[in-house]
Amino acid sequence: MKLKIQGLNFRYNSRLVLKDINLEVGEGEILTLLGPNGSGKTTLLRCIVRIFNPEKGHILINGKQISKIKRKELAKRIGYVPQSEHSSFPTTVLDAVLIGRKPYLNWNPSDKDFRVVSEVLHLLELKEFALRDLNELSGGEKQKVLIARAIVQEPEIMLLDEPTANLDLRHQLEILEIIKKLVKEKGISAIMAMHDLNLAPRYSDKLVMLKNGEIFCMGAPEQVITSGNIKSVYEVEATIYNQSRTPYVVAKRALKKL
Amino acid sequence: MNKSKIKAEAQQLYLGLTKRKTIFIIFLSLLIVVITIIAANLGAASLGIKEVISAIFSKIFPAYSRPEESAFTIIWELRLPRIFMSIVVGMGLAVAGTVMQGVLKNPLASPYTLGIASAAGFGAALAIISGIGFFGTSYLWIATNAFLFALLSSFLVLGLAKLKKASPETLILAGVAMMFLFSAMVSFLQYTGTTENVTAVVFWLMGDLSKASWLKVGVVALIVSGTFPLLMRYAWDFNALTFGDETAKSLGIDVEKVRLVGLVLSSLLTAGTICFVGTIGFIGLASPHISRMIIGGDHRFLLPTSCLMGAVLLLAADTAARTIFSPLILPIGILTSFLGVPLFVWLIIKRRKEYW
Repeated sequence: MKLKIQGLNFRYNSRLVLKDINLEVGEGEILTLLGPNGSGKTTLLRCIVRIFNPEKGHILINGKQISKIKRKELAKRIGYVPQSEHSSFPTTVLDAVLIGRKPYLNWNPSDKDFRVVSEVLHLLELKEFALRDLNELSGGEKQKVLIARAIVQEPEIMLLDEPTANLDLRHQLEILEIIKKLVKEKGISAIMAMHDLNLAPRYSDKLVMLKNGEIFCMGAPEQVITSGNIKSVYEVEATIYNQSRTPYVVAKRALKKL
Repeated sequence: MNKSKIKAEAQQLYLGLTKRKTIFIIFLSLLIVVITIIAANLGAASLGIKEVISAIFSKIFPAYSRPEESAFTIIWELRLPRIFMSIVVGMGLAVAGTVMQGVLKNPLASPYTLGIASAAGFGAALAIISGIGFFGTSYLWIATNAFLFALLSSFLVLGLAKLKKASPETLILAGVAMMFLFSAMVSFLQYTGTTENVTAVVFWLMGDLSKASWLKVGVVALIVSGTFPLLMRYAWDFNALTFGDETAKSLGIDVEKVRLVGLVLSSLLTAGTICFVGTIGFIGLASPHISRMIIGGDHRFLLPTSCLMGAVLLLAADTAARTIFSPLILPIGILTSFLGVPLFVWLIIKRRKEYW
């Protein structure tokens, strides 16, 4: 088992934001976190990459606690793609991707660093943008740059916070295809936070629904995406159509708060 | 397309850029030498370029040339201390500005962001007006006082940050608050001081390179050469910080530590520089931006480029200050802005990018 979370609690300004989180992700597996705004998806990802330190519980990579791994070593094993990013000064796409090699760099980037970066720029069709300013790119291209940076870290685990937010339809599918291909080909694990209840089951092996910082339910897509769960977690009335084991959600209306 | 070809492309692209950046750094170094020679030639007594060069070289290679005694004295005792003071002070302020902007992720940050300038001004004013310094009133004590208060202000701000785990924005706000506090205290001192003392304070606040000496050059040079290599070691960390704290952390960087080290070293650099020459503005703000526009944001090149750029700007400004209304010498603080702002604005217009 690649990543294992046991009894995780996280407190932010004395408010308990994550309560007793337990989950596991295996090699070549995509796990997607679902849940309304403020349910703790982003916070959980940030705990895993140690931007936040949990109050209680353990996060283990291949059986080793991440709190005992040096930050620099951890960066070689976990790649994190934030929801959005703003660079405070103009920077080229090439530099923005190359910085993903930071955990491996001494002073000058090595031949290997360049090989990895070039391959990823090629893979994500970013080569023509290499010397463009990051802030000039469109939302989809920028998102690809952030993913490219995480890939050049050569991580065992990728964390992606709403990788398809603010993207057009084509870019949404393209990005999810890229992630799926990477996970399957390189045998890494991915944890995504998502809002789209139709895309999530198509690209995930396992879904986790969070509500108020707790795991409400988890399992295979068709077990999690049910009208009952959606009603309880999202307070939305929805009809589910099943097409060859992939559930399809049609949201009907928002329910009054109970 | 095969893999080695893909690799070659990005690497060539990158190495080509690196080469251009290196060439620019060499160009700036040579530019400093040229301006130094020109500046050493300009002044009340005209010497001629040949005489100047021979006077400069005679100290380094005594056997090689033998200039006139008077020329030797003018060059080595009067002009070169001031020229070298401009160079090292410009370097110090520019490096401090680059680091402040980098670690605070704010293009408006400058060496004075943490309230350092006004605190130094207060320290100097206190020494000048009331004679209450840490050590009395002679020039060295004014400098010591300015230095200590400058550090006091930045450590107050940093201490506050440590206490409340502050974001860069909070640090900047706290620094602005410090600035108002110390400015008010300077005004109060001026209000109570004698005309003669108030004039001295005003001059200090405008910046003054006329009291340069080899000893002071040596001290500032020591501070700059002591902190610069330490800061260079963090060049990649500063690069990562550009992309935000979250990303930097996920890339394995101890963000709080890098920020603290950067701020402490740049505060030291600023305090150690301005305590001898007063508050010279704009160099620390403009040098990093001008350098970034020319060679980009990679701190491995940005730090040395900005360092040399600061030296060029201050040296050019001081040379102009000495010569434009000769024999009247303008305060350097006025000239840096007069010369720097048009250059800055020209670069902003020329770039036509969203950001600048």
